Amino acid sequence: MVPREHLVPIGLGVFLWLNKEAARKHTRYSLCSSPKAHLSRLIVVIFLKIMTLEKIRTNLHSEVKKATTSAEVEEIRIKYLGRKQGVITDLFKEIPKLKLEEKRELVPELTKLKKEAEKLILEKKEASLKIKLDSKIQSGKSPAYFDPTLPGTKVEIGHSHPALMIVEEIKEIFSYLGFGWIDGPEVESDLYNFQKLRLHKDHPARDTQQTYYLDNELLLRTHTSNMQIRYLETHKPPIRMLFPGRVYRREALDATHLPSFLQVEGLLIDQESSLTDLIGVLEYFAKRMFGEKTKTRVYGHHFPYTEPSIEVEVLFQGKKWLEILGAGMVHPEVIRNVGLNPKKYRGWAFGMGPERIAMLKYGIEDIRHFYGSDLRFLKQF
Amino acid sequence: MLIPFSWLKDFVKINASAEKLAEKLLLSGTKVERIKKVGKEHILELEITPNRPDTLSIYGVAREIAVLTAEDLLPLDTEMLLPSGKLANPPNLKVSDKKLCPSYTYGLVRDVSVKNSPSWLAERLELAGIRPINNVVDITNYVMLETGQPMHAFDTDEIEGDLTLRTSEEGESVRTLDGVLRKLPSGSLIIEDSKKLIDLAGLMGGKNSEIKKTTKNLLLLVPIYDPVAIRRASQATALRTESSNRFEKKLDLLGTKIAFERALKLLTEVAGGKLATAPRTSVSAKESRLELPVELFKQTLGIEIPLPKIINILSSLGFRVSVDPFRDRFLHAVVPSWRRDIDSAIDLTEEVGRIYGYNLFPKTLPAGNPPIQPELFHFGWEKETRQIFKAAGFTELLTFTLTSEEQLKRAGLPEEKIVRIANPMSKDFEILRPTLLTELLNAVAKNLKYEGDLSFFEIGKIFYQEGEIKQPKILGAITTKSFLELKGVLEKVVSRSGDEQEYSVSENGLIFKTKGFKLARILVVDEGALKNFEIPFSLTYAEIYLDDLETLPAKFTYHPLAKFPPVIEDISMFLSNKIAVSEILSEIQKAPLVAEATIFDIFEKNGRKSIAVRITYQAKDRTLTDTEVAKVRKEIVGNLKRKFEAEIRSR
Repeated sequence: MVPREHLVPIGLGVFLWLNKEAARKHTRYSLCSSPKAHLSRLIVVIFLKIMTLEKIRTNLHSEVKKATTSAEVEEIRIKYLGRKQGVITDLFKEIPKLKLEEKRELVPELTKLKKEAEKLILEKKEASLKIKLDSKIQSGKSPAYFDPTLPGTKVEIGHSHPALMIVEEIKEIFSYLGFGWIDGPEVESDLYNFQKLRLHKDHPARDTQQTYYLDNELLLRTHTSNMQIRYLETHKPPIRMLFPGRVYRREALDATHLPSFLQVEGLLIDQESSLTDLIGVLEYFAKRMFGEKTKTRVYGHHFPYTEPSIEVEVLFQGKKWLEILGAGMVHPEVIRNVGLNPKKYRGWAFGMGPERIAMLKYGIEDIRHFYGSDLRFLKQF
Repeated sequence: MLIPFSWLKDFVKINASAEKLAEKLLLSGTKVERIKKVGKEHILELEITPNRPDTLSIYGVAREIAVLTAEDLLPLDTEMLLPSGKLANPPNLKVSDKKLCPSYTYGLVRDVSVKNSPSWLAERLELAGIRPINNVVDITNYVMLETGQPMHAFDTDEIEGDLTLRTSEEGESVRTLDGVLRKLPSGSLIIEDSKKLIDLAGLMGGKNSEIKKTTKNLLLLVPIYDPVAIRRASQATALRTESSNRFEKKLDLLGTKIAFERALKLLTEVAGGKLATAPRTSVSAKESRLELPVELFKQTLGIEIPLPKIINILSSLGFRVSVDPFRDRFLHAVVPSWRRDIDSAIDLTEEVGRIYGYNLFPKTLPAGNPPIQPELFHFGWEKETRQIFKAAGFTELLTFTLTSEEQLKRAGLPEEKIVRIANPMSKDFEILRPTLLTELLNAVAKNLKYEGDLSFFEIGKIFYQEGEIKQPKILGAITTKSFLELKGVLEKVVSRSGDEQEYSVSENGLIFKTKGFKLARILVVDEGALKNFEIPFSLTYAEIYLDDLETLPAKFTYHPLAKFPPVIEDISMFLSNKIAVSEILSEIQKAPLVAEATIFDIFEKNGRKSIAVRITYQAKDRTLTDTEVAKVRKEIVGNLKRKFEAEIRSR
């Protein structure tokens, strides 16, 4: 006897074997043997086979509907359309065995069913893929709902530091004019930080630079000018160099002062060099940093290591003049100190504070934020 | 310095508004910070650079204005009737060393009546930010503000005998005007009479000789002291006054006489005094002469200013300029006595440039070719490393290099080889950081509320004492990502050097080495440290030694795409837990035809580990046969068994 699970009721008290191996063994559905009976038998046969296809269609639809994971959908695909053992695939294999009349009726139906099955399974797969994509923003609504106007998923990237971004920008702006860059010691000797720059011990100008000392000779450098001297002593002109780095001032920490901050100094030494070049370069710098329409002005100032000395201001938001850097022609005595002949070589130098530039450029209100390690600040850049 | 606008008008005609004038002053080097309006008066607040004490005075600023506006500078009013008859001699002032007091003028004034200053005097002082006290003291302050020359009045009736100016010895003391008994170090300038100290010279007068309501006779002393001695004494005693601020700078050696006369006129008119003795002046000053080729102006400034204009500007500033009769286009200039900041020819180019007006200069760019410097050829390791960390999701920080021992303790780090600050400003910034770990831990602790991975890095110097002070540049990174994820980032950076790396595991973490020096290390942060910083999850920390890395060239090796298919096989094995995975991989990779070997499964069981290795066999020039692969496989298995006692599992 055929096991119950191999049979599918198709009405009229007739059952259809689904297990083809069993069916091969028990091919007993012929009803009678007369020619009329033969025709009726044929009709019944076709009818029964079409009902089979109907049943397969019904089952397929219900199983696909019930499937909730792509794994289940794949199982269904293999069950019905699998190359080696699919229900529909197997039926195609039976086609050669059919009589001509049966073929004429059944083959189009079978082909239709196969196409339908493929479409159904593909649609289900795409739908579940969409569900996977949207699962992170589901709020308990129907899984098929997807709103593309929702904000994009946050991408975890690292952030640059705004003051260091300014340093990189400065390097790039001056690279156009042939400037390289180099940094050096922060713990420095009094000789290289002050004396070689005409700031002798007891010089009143030293008041304006409150200094951290380690002992009688070593200190924390108050400007990156120590690098200017070191570089000049070891390289021949022509020279175009930037000196970015940390400097230290012994001052109380508040909204506009830090115990340590960044500085970028620049130096040009050549056989020909004058104040007009310096002013021209600084205006070029200000325009690249703050915008082409930036207005600048220059006024006289004083530094012990430059003569003449100037400061440069930019007109901020059309209202206020704000100082952005100090500069000047390198004093002949400094040039002599590094072993060059001031009658043959001359040049200029400038210095600026990247934090200050960043505050002006980005509207940052408190200089302490640069050293605060607060992601609310850092992630904005 | 605060300057009331109307006071300036005593000495120069001003038509412009305060704002316009302030701009002229600013652009030529006398910085006006702001303008305050007090009633009908404008007060200019000036920031004077230390090289220009001559502009620490109304008269000095008026002189600048006169030059800038081409107006006449009116002289100081010192006109007065001198008493008839022969004047007595004042007490002697012995100066122990001329260098301590290179110039002075002093004299006695009798019959003064000390009371409140008239309102015009008191008002001007107040507008200039000085509190009025009594007419005599006020006059000394008034003339100081006007001329830039500080001075002091002593009650003569309190002075016994002659005066001596000398340096103090350690332990001497004097009670100053404010009532404080000050113990002096050695080297401070003091004035004493035959019995006692009467003046902490240049800083503050002595209380014993102060001008009181009952003072009738006074000694007016207008001195110039050695700036260095004053500066040292000011720092040692922590006394800083309007007077000492000026005495610290190079004052006009020829200016004491006129300042004395100005003060005398006011004392006569306002305090009823009469000159009692002939004023005594002592000056040791040399005329300062400079000579320079005219071409220096064009060389330095970059523009051709006509010689008559150059001479005109210098003359109006007080220089006596003459053209050399023998040398072509050569100038001589005598420096005015109030400009002791001018000591070389180059200073004259600044005088001409700033008065001419820098904003009138054309703007040019440097001539000549950019130099080809050796630094151009160094690989940008710092930039590359920064980019890799950023791409891996790390945010760059800047933190202070100054820190405290307490922070090191919190992080469980040893306090050895520490570099200390001799004059720290606060306990928080007493030492230089020997590590980046403490600040990175602080950064994590500050951002606990942030949802998502916390990954930070910083590139900067650390400092430690090893014989001399070492200050290497390193990168420090900390993350909530796993140890292996951070290790992956390090490997990406370090592999750019192209060299073979060795690893060694120590209590200081896993260390990457190449060619014998340390490149990087990575470790899991100690739980005790996490607790102290109140961080409730685990962290991994790594360092890259950039200074050393930067000595290596960056290598990039391109591997042409394989033309022939690889053979990929898996081998699983059991071996002792003690054997490092890196050793197994490097043993496998020694075998010929092995293109890649990766571990894809690893677990521990009963003190042994089971690992599964995927081996990719590849030849550049042919498709490998099964026999070839089998031969290599046999060799590998044999080596693993022999070297590591590996038990190969059948797959």
